[in-house]
Amino acid sequence: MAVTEDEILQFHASLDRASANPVFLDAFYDSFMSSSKDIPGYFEHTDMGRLKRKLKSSLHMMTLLVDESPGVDMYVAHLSRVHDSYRIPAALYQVWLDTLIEAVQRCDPLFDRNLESIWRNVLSRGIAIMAAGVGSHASPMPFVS
Amino acid sequence: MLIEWSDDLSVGIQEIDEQHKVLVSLVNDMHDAIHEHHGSEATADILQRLAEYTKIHFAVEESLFRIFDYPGYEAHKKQHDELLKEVIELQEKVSSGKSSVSFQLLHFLKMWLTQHILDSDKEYSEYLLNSGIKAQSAKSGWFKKLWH
Ligand code: HEM
Repeated sequence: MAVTEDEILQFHASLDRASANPVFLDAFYDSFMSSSKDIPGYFEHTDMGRLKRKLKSSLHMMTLLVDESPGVDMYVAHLSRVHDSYRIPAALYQVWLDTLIEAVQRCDPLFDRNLESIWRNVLSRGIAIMAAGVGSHASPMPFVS
Repeated sequence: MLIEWSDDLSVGIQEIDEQHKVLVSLVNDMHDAIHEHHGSEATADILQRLAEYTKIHFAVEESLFRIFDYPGYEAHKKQHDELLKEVIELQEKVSSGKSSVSFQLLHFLKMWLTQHILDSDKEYSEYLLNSGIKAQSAKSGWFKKLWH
């Protein structure tokens, strides 16, 4: 479904409110880690502090996909190829999204059903590109003419 | 100009900043070449210079990581390897005429470069500065001189 400019503003406002809560990042990664026994293994060698710091910029990147800023498709496809090198199955992207939304629900005091559908709507394209990148690590870069 | 250099992009280590400025100016050159219709040979040539310089720049950073025992070495090197793989792949496609440099690609490079400097390079530079690396090179811009 097409995302309006107002929805993008509401998304950012909700992200700002959630991020203002100091437990937001921990809440997200803690429940993501415990949502499947397979997940912690992927992060065995990861500096989680660094990854947490990067979450906001990757969410911002996903919002840029909505208004089709040039190069963003390619950037997210690049990110998905990096993820594919860790052999992450497509199903985990849905788990990632659901867990993120649960964390927002906990941390944004104004969260409601309408905001939930905005979050899902805004992030759906990015999630689709990430999931479509499964198996792409060894293949040529997409979005290149 | 596609990317404007500003202090926000500085990592606080002069030599690395100089190298980043070269990368920024190569991306800008490529942007100008497309804008001004310099032809596919000119853009392929700049892309080749970009691929070569990127390889050298990454090697310099990685050697600093090893010297200073940077704990984020593996993760950072992986980011380098992934980008380099893609840039070399693209550069081969472009020079063989199978593909052309597009605005999509330019904006991808812009995003990768600025995002990488702001997120990842600032992280290692903080570590290196705390570990005693000098912010100013004794001989300013030795690497840039060597390259040009
Ligand atoms: C759309 C969803 C996702 C986004 C936007 C995202 C974003 C990112 C970003 C920006 C990085 C840092 C890349 C770098 O700079 O090196 C990263 C790393 C990583 N992500 Fe994701 N991610 C997503 C989903 C997932 C999922 C579902 C998993 C499953 C386990 C996962 C596992 C990892 C791992 C293992 C790393 C490497 C960390 C390291 O050791 O450096 N990600 N992710």
